[in-house]
Amino acid sequence: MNIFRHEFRAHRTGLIWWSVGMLFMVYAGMAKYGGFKSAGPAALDIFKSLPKSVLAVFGIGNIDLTTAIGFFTVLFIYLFVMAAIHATLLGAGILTEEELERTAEFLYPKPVSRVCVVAEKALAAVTSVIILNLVAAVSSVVFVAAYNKGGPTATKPILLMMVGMLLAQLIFLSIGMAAAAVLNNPKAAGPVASAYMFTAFFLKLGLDITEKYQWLRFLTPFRYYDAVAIVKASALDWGYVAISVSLIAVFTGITFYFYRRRDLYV
Amino acid sequence: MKTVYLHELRQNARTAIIWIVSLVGGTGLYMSLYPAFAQHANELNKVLQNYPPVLRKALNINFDAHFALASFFALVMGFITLAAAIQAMNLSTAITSKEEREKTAEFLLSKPLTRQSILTGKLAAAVTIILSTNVVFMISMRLLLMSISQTSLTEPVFLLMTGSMLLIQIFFLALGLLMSVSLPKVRSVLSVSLVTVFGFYIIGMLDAVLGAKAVRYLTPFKFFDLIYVYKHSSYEWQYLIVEAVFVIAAGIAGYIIYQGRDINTI
Amino acid sequence: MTTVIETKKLTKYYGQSRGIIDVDMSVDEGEIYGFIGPNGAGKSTTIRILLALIYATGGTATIFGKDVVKDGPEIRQEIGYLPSEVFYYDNMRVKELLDYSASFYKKDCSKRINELSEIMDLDLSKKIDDLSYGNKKKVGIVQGLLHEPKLIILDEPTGGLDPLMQQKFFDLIHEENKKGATVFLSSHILSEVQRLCDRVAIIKEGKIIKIERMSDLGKSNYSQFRIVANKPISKDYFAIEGVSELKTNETHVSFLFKGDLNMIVKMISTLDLQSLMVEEPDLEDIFLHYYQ
Repeated sequence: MNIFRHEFRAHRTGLIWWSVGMLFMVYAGMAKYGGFKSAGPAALDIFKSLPKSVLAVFGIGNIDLTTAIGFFTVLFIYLFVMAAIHATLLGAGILTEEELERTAEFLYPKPVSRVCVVAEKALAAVTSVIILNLVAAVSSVVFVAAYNKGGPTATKPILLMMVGMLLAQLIFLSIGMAAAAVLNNPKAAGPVASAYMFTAFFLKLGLDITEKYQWLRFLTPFRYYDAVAIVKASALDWGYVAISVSLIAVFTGITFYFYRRRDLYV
Repeated sequence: MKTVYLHELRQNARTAIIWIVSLVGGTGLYMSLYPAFAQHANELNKVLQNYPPVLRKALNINFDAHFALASFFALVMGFITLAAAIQAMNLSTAITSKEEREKTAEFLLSKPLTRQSILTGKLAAAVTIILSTNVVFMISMRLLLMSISQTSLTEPVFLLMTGSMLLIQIFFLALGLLMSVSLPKVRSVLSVSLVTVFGFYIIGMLDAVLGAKAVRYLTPFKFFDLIYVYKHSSYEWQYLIVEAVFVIAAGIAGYIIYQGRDINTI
Repeated sequence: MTTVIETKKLTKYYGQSRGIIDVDMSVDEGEIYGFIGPNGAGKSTTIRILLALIYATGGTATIFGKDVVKDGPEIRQEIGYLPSEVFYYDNMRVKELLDYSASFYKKDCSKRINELSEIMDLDLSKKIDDLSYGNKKKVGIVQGLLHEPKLIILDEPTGGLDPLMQQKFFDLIHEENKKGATVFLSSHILSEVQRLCDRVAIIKEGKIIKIERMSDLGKSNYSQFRIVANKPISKDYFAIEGVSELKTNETHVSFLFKGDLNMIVKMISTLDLQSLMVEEPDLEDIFLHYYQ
């Protein structure tokens, strides 16, 4: 477990900054709700019957924004993107850093197998991802509760969203690692993995403003765990959970398979 | 200087083309959703006719065809400028840090060139790439808008709306330059640029904490209210001044810092 | 005698471009084996295959009788490696890096770390980022030897070390060798190899062209002739069989000769000599001979 310890320590400072950022965003977002609620635009009611694309122009999803949880659904996508960026960069970075920092000739002549290196690095990355997710979950529950005086408890949907976000984080992490394992040039892994992540994000934005092309939603993990749908159903869509788990398994498999056979870039 | 300029252009050409194609293609895909939106807007307009004039005035909406096109295009520009900001930031964050990370700084700086001319050559290449991106983008958007909508935006409104992308890119170009010369070591351009751009994107939603007015001065994503641009055929000058001051200050600081900087070699 | 490293028809192509072709070597236990050739000949490629950093496209390589890929981790318990260029995690301190390195081996290395840093004059509390290149190299030496490996692999090891440190380093390697360690040393510096090695393999454009005992190479049947005559000597006067590296400049002639010495002496006796030197060629000359 020495590689795990080393990796976790090496990424600790970064993780602390990400966590602070996450915490601040939840705080700032819910503070905005505080101001929003007191303004109380009752006229919002007429929007409930409007089509998606028109609503999007006004920046409103089809949920009651005057409740704390309704407002949190808007905030959630920002937390989601942040966590996704973290996971993608971490996944690609943790496997390519030895080659890019030229420390590969230190680590790999040690009596460890490639499988063991990948496994311990992956474990360190998963730990980071889980910690960031816990920070998001705890701060969301606390701040939403703080602004939710008198409203119905929002803890369950928030935790469900966070479970969904964790699965999506793991998908992005495993895609980042797979890119690092498959691509010959370690410099390409970060850009390729983040290009996918952004395409997925912009695809989600596109799908939010239309009713067409909904089959494309399978391509973007941002749509697997849609905040509004989770609040309405008070449950995760098990189909998407199953897809997430299989994607994670497939990309992890690809990572191990290719990394073992890879000529290191030294 | 000219050799540095040409070398940089050649080095970045492939990435630049990928960016241009993705930006134009992505915007094209989003705008393909417009006809459906226009239809909805039209229906909505009819519905709104039945509401009392007081309410219509309170909501401050008037869905004539021009406004429908402008507001939809504004929404799409909001998405696309986020991606465009990343392009600019990637370019300029790499500007000097790349040489040091890839250990080519010694090669370049031992040539008979002043640091000023090196920086100018590199900066000119980055600016050329950004300008070409915007020219291609504007031309293809003009054609695209003409083909999907009978109504069209007036020439000045169109130029000002798409021009906001150029201005936001220039902001991030300046910011990236400043970071490139002043950070002691940039491990990964991508991480720095993604985190910075998203940081500014997210600042945009912190109005409750920072104050709605202050936020508009803090992030370039809020400098250009495209609906205002549509209504007044002009930018809001105070934000233009903020941008100009920042860009000039960052540029000057960039040159001074780079001139006095110790270059990291191995 | 046990064989420590053995390669058979070891081949590596990077896409279309040549790495090494059909490299056959066998390094015996307890010897110091030199691996010499110019830049780009395939030295580092061979070493990286032995360490399973990259994978061969053909042939086999075994260390301690085990396959370098399949049994890589097990083999590497007993290997110490010093790369030609050293790069370490620069946010760590020297001590932390050495402890990290030691944590991979199944023995307590703390005593050896202190001994080695003492010998190499290394400050353990410094940050790696603040070290000079030569000092980073010292870190490399200590991390490569701290687990008392049975096989030491050195890839052009002396770059960046001052002559005093080089001497200390070679003493250290000699000592490890006396204690039973096998050493595999790649280099393009002949004096280095000449000083240390028992046997040497010469590699050129990816192929091994000669493997010889150092002692045999040294006292090979080549003789180096340097002649200065009083009158100009015609260019083809010595152009006979057995002569190589022939250089004629008016009255000055030099060449390598292998063959019947009586014959060449007779030829020389007909000249009006100013000076004559016959010496054993040093490795440099032989090397040039292989590389002409």
